[in-house]
Amino acid sequence: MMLATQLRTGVHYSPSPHLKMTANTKEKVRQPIEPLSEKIILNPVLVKDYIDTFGIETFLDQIIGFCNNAPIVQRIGVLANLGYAQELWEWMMDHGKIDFEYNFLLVNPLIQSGFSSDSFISALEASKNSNFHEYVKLLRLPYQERVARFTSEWNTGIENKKDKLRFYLRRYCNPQLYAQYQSEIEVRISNLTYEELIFYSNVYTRAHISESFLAGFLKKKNVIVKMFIKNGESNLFF
Amino acid sequence: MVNQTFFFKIDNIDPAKPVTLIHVLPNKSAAVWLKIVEQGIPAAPISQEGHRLNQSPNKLKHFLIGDKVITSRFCGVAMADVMTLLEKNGLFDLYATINRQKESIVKALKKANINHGHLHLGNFVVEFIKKDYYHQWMQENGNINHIPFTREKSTSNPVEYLAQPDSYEAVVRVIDFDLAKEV
Repeated sequence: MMLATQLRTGVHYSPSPHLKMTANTKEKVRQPIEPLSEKIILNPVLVKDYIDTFGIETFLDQIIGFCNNAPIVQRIGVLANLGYAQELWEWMMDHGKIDFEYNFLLVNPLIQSGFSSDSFISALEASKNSNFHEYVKLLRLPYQERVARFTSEWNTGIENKKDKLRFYLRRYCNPQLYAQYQSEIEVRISNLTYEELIFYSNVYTRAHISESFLAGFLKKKNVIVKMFIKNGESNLFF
Repeated sequence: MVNQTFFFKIDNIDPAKPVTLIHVLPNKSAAVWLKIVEQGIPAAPISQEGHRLNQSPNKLKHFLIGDKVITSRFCGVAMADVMTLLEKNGLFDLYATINRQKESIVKALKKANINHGHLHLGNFVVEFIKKDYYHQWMQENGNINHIPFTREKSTSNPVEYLAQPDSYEAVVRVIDFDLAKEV
């Protein structure tokens, strides 16, 4: 049963002293606040339910007692990506939680969420952690330059995938057969669609590349079928 | 014990068609996949071809170990590959967008009482669909899993997205349901 449902139906109601205004202050409804527990924090569905019911501030107020546990701190970091980056950052500042042992578990999710408020960037610059300085430098590059870097690395990755495919074909095919079809193989690799290349890059690393694979790869038949059986891999290419 | 079989097929007749994948999996897992697709939790789309293969056993059938044949299409690059490079190059807008979608899928699966079985980043893929096409479809149909594939309207290449981020919608999907079950 979801937490909100439990609260609505009264099941699991506990007359706790944590009586507080709900997130919906317009309605002026008072609801008992479920004491936060590890069970709730570690379950994303219950966390969302809790925040929807009581508000992010209540959640953060209550979570302070759980911060000695890395998996829990990791879950707190996820808040950055759920649209609560600003609240999380304010909470961290309130509790002096920058430049301390949870740096990566809390700061990285904030970085990865694209959060870039001035105070956050300044804190990163002031941090002793040089990784954060690198991040700030990166963030200050123009968008087009970051895209150009990404594109260059992505395209290199594509060429590497083609090289690997050549390597596996050469390594696993019958040498005479490979020599016979070498030029056709090269043409086929050059003409692979983007999706085909990504597809093959996932397949060939775990398949034994064989003559039947080669026949299929070179479109000697209409259809390529791979059969992969756990605990005893085998292939069948048509 | 042999408990998992995949079939992959490449349709190489029409280059406009996507790479088609054939999966053979236990009935229970196939049912979960179908449920996920019908509930609109973004997942590898199921194509009709699978029904044909189930109804008319062909000469390949005796090689298959599994109960049900389901066909789908190649629907994006592994999220792990994309995210590593996005993070390295400070492109956090797209990073956060796809990460958020992944989180929503994880939550939706939990809410639907579905245990995927191996929900790692390699089993999330991302593709990019033209914004107008995406929004029109979602407004009229509401289920991303049934959006018709056209090469002009979608791409798996993040470079194309990054060149025109305002023209595309990033769509994260969960794939690989051979271990999926209801809990």
